[in-house]
Formats: sequence, structure tokens, C-alpha cells
Amino acid sequence: MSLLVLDSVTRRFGALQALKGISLSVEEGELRAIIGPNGAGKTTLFNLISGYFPPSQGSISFAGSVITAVSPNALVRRGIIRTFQITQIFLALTVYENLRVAVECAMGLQLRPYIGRATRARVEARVDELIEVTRIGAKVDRIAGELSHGDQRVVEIGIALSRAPRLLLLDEPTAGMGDEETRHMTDLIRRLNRTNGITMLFVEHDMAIVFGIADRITVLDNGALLAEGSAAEIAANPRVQAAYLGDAAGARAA
Amino acid sequence: MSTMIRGVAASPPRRSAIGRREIASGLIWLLLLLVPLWLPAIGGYTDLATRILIYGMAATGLNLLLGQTGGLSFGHAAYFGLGTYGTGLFLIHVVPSLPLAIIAGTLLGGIAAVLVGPMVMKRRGIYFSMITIAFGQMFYFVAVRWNGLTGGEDGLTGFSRVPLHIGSRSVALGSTGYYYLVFGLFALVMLVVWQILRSPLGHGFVAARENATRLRFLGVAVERQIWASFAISGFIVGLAGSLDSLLVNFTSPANFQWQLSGEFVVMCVLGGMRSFWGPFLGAVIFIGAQDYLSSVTQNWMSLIGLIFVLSVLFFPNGLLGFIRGRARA
Ligand SMILES: Nc1ncnc2c1ncn2[C@@H]1O[C@H](COP(=O)(O)OP(=O)(O)OP(=O)(O)O)[C@@H](O)[C@H]1O
Ligand SMILES: [Mg+2]
Repeated sequence: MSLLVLDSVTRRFGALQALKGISLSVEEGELRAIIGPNGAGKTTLFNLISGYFPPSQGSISFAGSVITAVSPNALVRRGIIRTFQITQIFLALTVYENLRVAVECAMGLQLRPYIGRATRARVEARVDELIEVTRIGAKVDRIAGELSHGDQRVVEIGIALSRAPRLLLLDEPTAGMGDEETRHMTDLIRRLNRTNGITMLFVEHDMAIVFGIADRITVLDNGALLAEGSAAEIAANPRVQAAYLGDAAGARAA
Repeated sequence: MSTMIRGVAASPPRRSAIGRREIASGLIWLLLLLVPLWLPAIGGYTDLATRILIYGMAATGLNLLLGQTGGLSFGHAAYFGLGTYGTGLFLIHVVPSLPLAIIAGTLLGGIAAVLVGPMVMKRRGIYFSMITIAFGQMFYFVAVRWNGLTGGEDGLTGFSRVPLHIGSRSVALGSTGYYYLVFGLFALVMLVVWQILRSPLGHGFVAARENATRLRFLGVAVERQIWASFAISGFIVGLAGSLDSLLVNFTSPANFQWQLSGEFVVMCVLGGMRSFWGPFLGAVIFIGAQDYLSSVTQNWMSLIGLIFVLSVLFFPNGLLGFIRGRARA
């Protein structure tokens, strides 16, 4: 059974159709790239899946139940976690504090004015796990706002992981990063998928990354589903080449 | 582990900075404990120190909401005022018991904050401030209009600091005795605030201030966090109000007014909203300056305004933020 299924999902903003009758399904354990030119509807797709706003038409189901009208909070509890196109972390706090508050919230402790030694130890152990997975150990005591963009992105993913996601949505995780940072992020994404088995959707403009790590690729263009398939299929698809890889990728590379 | 202040403190010299901080805290406690011994020597008087503790308590309570949670309340005088009237009316109409009257005032202020909380917690920024002012002014008008109970514009008199009953002994509280009662409660409040700030609840407050969107997408009902912060600060400010009414054996509608709310905010900003001791230090400066300046000039209010403007210009993180920055450099 597919983990995530979208059935003819449409989203309108006034007269604008940001998504037009999109149907797609994502399997458990899959690493799926979403590509498409600016304004194609990629972020809108994430907003719908994460419950930020509802679809105008169509339905979305997750792990076998319909989630079309479920609140973002409830979706988070069911395991749909996202990051944002603009990094969302707690800038004035250290990396450690960022992860700690995330873990405490994930454990439902956020209204507790006191926690015992055992609970504290559980929180700390979980934070250490996140530090380990994201390999941010050298920077735990740095103020997040003073980190490089790439490291802030890693912290954001660490925060997202605190909820033990079943489905992780990453909106342009490598945007604005240098080569070294991009490689680190790509490794992290692959590791989370292969080693930790997290199903992931990620929006990405860098075709080398997309073709390098994605199991399958969904191509959106102007709100419509242009193509879907493996890297080889997408690379060979003439419509994709014409509409996207041809000019958009060329323009971006220039 | 460290205190919550870690987030805004320097990262590399953390360990040594904490050592220094603990020494500073120890010094503050020692100075406060010995106030009746040294304050008269520099021309102060014990009731002034008591007043500073009371306002420092109020500012610290407000700062839980203001500095830690990021909710700019311009209406916390409401809970202070309720604390004063709750205590005064309890002494007049219920029983002349000091502990019960303090509890009554604290509960009145705190419960009002619990009830007002849900009506303000969804607002952000300036709307939050406006609605907190509105509630503050509402209580002010009730106090003015409900003449029969509150004494109206003239304020409430006819109650006084009755002796404490400890076992079978009855202890009258003079200036020094009352100072130590307030000091004990102040210490308790500081302990509670310190504990909250190092707990998940306090971490959640700071997270709500830093990035509510992020927090919400972690599945947290951010409003509840703000409500909790609002309510706790209301109880603390209510307690401060209660103690203030017993210091002067009087209260008036001025204790509800937005001017007083603004003074609490000024104290927090002056001392440093991101520091544990900041609001208290702000109260020391504010009440100290008020006491001194009002004895030398009629225009003390404008001088305090000037001090405020200068400090915001030169120490945007408050005095403690400034000191900590220097210590780091
Ligand atoms: N909340 C909104 N209100 C109105 N219009 C919106 C809203 N969100 C998105 N849109 C519009 O929907 C279209 C798709 O936007 P979306 O952000 O999903 O594109 P995208 O594929 O993520 O683009 P990019 O690569 O630039 O991030 C755009 O025309 C955008 O202006
Ligand atoms: Mg986008």
C-alpha cells in the first residue's frame, strides 16, 4: 500500500490554479524528488500535504486514511513533518537548545515546569541521537543564528527528525548552499532514507542531485503533472526535456 | 547543565561565564539578605528596599511573558492592582490574617490572568499589546466606578499589615520584619522562575518567542504556551501587588493603570529582558532613581524617561546584556 496518495488534487488561489488535478502516490521508504520551474506549484503541494491549507478539490490520504481536512498539528502527530523553503529554526538559541526544545515538544513535555532525572536523561539521549544522525556535533554550542546557511538547514532537519517522521517533506534543502554544504546535505538525505528508512519528498532544482539520489521523480509544470518516473525515464522524456530540462535547467546553469 | 540564559550567552567561554554568573548571583543574594545592615549607611531606608523587591518581583513575573515568551503586555498592572485590592478587601471583609490575605490577592490577580489569557493569546505583536491594555483599563474603570466596594478614586484604606501568627506567638511586622517576609517570597518567586526557565515549559516559552511557526509545525499549540506564560506572570504580579498593598496599607486605581504597566515594561527593558536578573536590576535602577530624583526635582518623570531613552540607545539588550557583552569581549 502506498504511504501517500493524492487523488486529483486541485488548489486555486482566486483565479489562479496553482495545482491542477494532481494524482500521485509515494511508496513507503521512497525517496521522491519534486522538480519543476519556479511557480510550478511545488511548495503549494507541500502546503497541501502538510495541512497548511486544504485542497480546493480532490483528496489526500496518508497511511490509508484520508487527511484532507486534518489540521497541521494532527498531521505532525501522525508523522508528516516538513521543512520550509525559508529555514525555520530558533535563531537565538544554540544548536543544542534547538534540538532539545524540539525533542521535548516531540515527547509532549512542553507544558511541564519540571521533569525528573529519568525524563531528562531520555530527552538528552534523544538529542544526542539527533546530533549523531545529523553530524552537527562540532557545533552544538554555537548560536544557530551565527551558523552558515548550510548548517542551519541541517539543524532544521534535526528539528524535524525529533518527531520521528514517517514522511519528511524537504522544500529546497540545498538552495543557496556551496558545494561542500550541498554534498553534506545530499549525504544526509540519502542516509536518512537508506539507513533510517524515512520516506521523503524533496523539492530540488539541482539536477545532478535529483538524478543522483532520487528513487523516482515527479515533474510539475505550471500546476500540472508533466511526468513521473525513474531518473532514466525522466531524463529520456521528451516533454520534460522540452518544457523543463531544456530551457529552465539551461537557464539556471547559465 | 546550565541555566536557560545559555541561549543568548556567548558560546565558547560558556563555562567560565557561568562561574562568574553564579558568583554574581551569590553576591546579589548576600546583599539582599543584609539590606537592613548596609542600606541606611548609604542613605537608604528599609521600606525602599522592600519596594524594590516588590517591583523587582513584578518585573520578573512580567518578563516571563515579555522577555522569554515575547508577549509585549502593556496591561500587567491589572493583575498587580487586583493583587492589592484582593488583599486589602480580604483583610477588611473576610479575616485579618496576613498569609490568607496574601494568598487571596495572589489568587485574584492570577485567576484573572488565567481568564484573560485565552482572549489575548491568539494576538500577535501590537494587537497583543493593545488588547492587554484594554483589559487593564477595564479593571481600572471597575475600581473607579465600584465606589462602595473599592473606595473609588480615593482608593482603599482601612486595612493594615496585621501581625503574623506563628504557632501561639503573634509577631508584629515592622519595616525590617516585613522586609524579610517580602524577601522570603521574592526568593521563592525567583526560584520558581529559575526552575521554569530550565524546564521544557520555559524552553517552549523561548521557542514561541523565537519562531512560533516552527513551533507550531512541531505539533505544539503555541497559544497554550502563551496562555501558560500569561497566567504564571499574572500570579507573580498579583503576589507583588498584594505585598505592595501591605507595604503602604493602601491601594488606589492608579495601581491598575497603564502607566504602571509601562513602568514594569521599562524595568524589564532597562535591566535586560533576556537575563534572569535583568528585570530585577531594572527595578533597582527605576525605583532607586525615582526615589532619589523625586526628592531633588519635580520633573523626575522626564528624567526617568531620559534615562530610558539613553539606555535603549546605548544598551539595547539592557544593562545586564551590556555587561555580559563586555565580559565576553
Ligand atoms: N498562499 C498563496 N496565495 C496566493 N497565491 C499563491 C499562494 N501560494 C502560492 N501561490 C501561487 O501559486 C503558484 C505556485 O506557487 P508555489 O510556491 O507552489 O511554486 P513553487 O513551485 O514552489 O515555486 P518556487 O520554485 O519559486 O519555489 C505561484 O504562482 C504562486 O504565486
Ligand atoms: Mg517553492
